[in-house]
Amino acid sequence: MRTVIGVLITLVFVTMTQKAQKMDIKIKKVAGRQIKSIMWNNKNINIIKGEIAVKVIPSISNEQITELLNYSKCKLIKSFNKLGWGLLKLEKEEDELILISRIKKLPYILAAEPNMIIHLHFEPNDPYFRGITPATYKHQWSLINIGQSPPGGTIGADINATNAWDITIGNSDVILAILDSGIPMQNGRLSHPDLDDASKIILGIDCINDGEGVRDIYGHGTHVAGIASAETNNNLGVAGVSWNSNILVIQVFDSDGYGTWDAFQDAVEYAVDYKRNNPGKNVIINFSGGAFYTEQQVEDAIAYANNYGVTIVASAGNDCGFNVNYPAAYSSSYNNVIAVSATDHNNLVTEYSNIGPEINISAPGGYGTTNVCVYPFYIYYDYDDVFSTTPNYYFNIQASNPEVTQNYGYLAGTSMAAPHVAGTAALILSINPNLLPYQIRNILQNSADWKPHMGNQPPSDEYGYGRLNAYKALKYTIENYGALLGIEMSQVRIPLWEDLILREDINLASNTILTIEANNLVTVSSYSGIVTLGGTGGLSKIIDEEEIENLNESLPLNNYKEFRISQNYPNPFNPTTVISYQLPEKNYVTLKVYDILGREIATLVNEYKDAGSYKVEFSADEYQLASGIYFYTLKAGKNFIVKKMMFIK
Amino acid sequence: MNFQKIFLSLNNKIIFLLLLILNLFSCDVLSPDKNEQKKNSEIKTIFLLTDTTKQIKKTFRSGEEFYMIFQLINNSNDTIIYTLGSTRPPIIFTITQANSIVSTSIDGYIFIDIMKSGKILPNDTLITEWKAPNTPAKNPQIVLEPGLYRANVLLPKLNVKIDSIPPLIFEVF
Repeated sequence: MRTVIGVLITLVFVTMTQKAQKMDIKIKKVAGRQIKSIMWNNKNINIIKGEIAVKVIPSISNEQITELLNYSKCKLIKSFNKLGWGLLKLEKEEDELILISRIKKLPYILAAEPNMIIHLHFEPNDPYFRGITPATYKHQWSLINIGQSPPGGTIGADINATNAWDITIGNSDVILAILDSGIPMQNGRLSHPDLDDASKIILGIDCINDGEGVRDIYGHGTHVAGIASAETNNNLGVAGVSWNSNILVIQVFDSDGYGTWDAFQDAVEYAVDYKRNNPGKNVIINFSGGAFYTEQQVEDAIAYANNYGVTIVASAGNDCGFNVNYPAAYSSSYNNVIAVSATDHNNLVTEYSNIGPEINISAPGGYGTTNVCVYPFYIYYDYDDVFSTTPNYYFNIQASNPEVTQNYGYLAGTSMAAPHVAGTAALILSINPNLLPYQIRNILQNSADWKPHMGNQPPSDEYGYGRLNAYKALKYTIENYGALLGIEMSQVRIPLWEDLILREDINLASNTILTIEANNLVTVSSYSGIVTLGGTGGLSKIIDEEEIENLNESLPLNNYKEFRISQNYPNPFNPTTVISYQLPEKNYVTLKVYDILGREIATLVNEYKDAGSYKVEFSADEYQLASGIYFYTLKAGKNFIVKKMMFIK
Repeated sequence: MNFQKIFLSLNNKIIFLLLLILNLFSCDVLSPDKNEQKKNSEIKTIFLLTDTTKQIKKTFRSGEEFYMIFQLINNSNDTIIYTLGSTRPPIIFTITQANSIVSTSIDGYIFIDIMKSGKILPNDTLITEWKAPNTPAKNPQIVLEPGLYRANVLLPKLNVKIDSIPPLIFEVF
């Protein structure tokens, strides 16, 4: 017995060690270049060590460039493009910021900045997220669940926020309209340290007219706003899902948590009109409330939002398996409504969550309390619930639940699940602002995690299409709709744990460099100002040879340079999956599937193929396969590759 | 070898005995008579319909307002605890006709989806009234057409058992 335990402990240790090593590799280098953390514009950012992006005047002469290089003791590693941007590399050790301040004084330098790495597996420094002082453990399991104890849940029962943040942390053109009980305010000012940035938090209207403006007296709106978009990476408190998004505060609930449909209608109209009146802005509405019964004005409000492309994320309700509340229940008739049920720290639908065919997706809402729905009907909020901001003064939730502390505290409910989804929808719109509500809903549904315990196949009344996965939602967006990564003169990195499969009609913008590193990190960089991946404006794809020297792989491109087969996607799959491969030259190709005993199951390709990129769909149902591991082989001339895939019924 | 078998067998027996003791102990701790939802005869309910002068009635004119009143009287020595899935009031009234909801006491209102609990202390009474058939937030307001209707009470989850509240049938003429 002892031997068995010893072996198990060793295995766990080895697994953890291997994982740590993998993480370490990911953080240390980009394409063989070193990463460094610095403070830039009051933000902690990661940069490529020793590299400076510089913008020069259009008429700069060769003599001036030589002077610049001599003065800065740099070499030019990327020529100045037509917009005037180039990349310098320090030839000797010097602080990048000091160099920037020096060369900015030169008359032909218009701008200079570090070569930033955006969101390098970004783990924000908020103490309750990281589990650093004053926190004693990682409180926010809903964002990243490593089985931290408490609550000791299932690893991965989270929305995969850190991987999502590697792609985007949101942007301020996406507004999260929080229709709730308000925001912490004292003496007419935003008062919570994680919700006090006046440039981020837009004070909307008080639709309930309780004489207090949008000041949160009940305490719920503060918690919801924090989940969706708390100020993050500020060395304080908690992290929010889409932390670079702005928040539009609209009050629809009074100090006792009561509101009216009339207020809801006004609030939706206000949020939608905010988008209409601010071209370039997008709005996602979060509404963590509702009622059993509806009115015509509710449907009118939803239709109005739908007409102007505004998504409403709504909680299903907490009546212990009762029907889905309104307005969430409108998801069956309006595709701009996303109905959200709640899961716990073990990926299980909660006892309290309302369920039904209207549920689109589930998200972490907190466990609640054992027996919350059966005798003795006890409600106590603690560490297996969702941790977020609460008012920094007494609030009325404390009357019935004094364990919910001021400043930060735990709450549970579908109320807490919805803002995880709304925040993710904001992340999606941040990388592709042209998406319509039905597309956002499709992305969330198609990228959700479906676990065996959820049933044979999605959707289900309890989980909808599965549990929210923010990272997969962004990846799905990039693959199927393209993404606008609006960063000036910087690199955008998209770490992928699977191959990126771009839809065939999605092109990269011109002057975009897209590469995949050995560990499947995708780097996108552009010197035309705005980085675009996908979309319809792309004309060509340019691979910078210098950039990919140190890289092992590249995406399938117009010039198919190598024989390559991608990992099937999705994997595991049920029942269909797609296998992609590329050929550098015309060849006779066979693509076959085998079972674990080496028996041939299917021949998917068996013919001459021209050079190019191909996709083949494989359906396990067609061959009546049992769940298990299968192999697929690609043979073309002398080239032969085997890969493994898993079918789970 | 034999010694090992005996030892293992003994070991299994000890484990079995421990499990048996644990099981018995668990049964005692979770015995139904101690933990079952209590049905207490000292808890009374009153459900009635009155006119606006609080006179009990079961017939009303079309367009007339009337009260639906429910009382949960806790004459026991124990606190009654109720739980809700939202900030809604603990008692909801509905008016139905042919199994369709015509009006409710929360029409036009919305509530926060947060679980909360409330208490009815010993010798205390939870009194809920609704001036039917509209609420201030109901839009548009309705007039009950002549006919037979049912008045119903929806209770929250209670930690005590009480008899179900039969609907009251009333007539509008």
